[in-house]
Amino acid sequence: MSTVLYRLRVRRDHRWAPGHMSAYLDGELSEPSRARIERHSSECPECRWVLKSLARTVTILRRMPAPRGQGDPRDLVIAVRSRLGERPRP
Amino acid sequence: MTGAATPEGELIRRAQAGDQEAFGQLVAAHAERVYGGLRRFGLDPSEADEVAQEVFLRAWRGLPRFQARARLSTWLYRIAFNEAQRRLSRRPPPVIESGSGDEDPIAALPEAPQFGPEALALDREFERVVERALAQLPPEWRAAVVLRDIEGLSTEEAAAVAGVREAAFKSRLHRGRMRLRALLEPYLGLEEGEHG
Repeated sequence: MSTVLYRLRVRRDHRWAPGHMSAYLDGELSEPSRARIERHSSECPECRWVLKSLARTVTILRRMPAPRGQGDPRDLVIAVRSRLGERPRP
Repeated sequence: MTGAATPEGELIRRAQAGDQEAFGQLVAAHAERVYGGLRRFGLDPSEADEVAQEVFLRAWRGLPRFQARARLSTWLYRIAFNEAQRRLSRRPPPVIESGSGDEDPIAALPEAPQFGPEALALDREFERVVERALAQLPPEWRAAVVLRDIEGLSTEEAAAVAGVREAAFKSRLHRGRMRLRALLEPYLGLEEGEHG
């Protein structure tokens, strides 16, 4: 491939890749698209960084613990059961 | 759990027949996840406590229409999502404290710590950083990230909870993740040498 065609292809992939990184991480891309992301990431430092930091962001989100501060679930059960006969809110 | 053969399926069947004790057991089993979802969707602790009651009251009234083949947890998330959006829509617009209107959201976050991602994920301070970054997302993007990445629903389930088609859901999820990536970039523990 000539240098000009190579640069055109890289530029095209550079515009395309960021919009497909999330689907790539979820394993939702077709095989050609997956290969395109991987090829471009190996060629483009900027996109490689974005993909790597996006993957780490998703990993961190998946490790987030449940929010603190909830009271005893039994209190919620009592409160809900005491209101089961209420009329629906408009 | 689904289906009448499971303990939860049996509880659902009894609750659908008007058994309040069985419904109470379902509330206890799902209270933590519903509360967690409400907090992640953007409600504060007192709002989440209050709205959690509304979620289960709506579930009680809607139980006769609940299809046993669906997952109860997903159905409850759907109600919680709608109730949270309703509550959030009633909030007054946020007040910009300094009044300049062009603050860098990163500047509002604490200093980046000096340790790696495994330690970060367990660190309370870092949890607050992530929570504050999440709070800066538009509600629809935040909900997509919460449902898919934090609560661990499949794309199909999460799209159903958010009430949108999968393509629209994936778009929200991608935008939310990319925005979070930008906000959290200084905290991710990636070395400079990894850039490029």
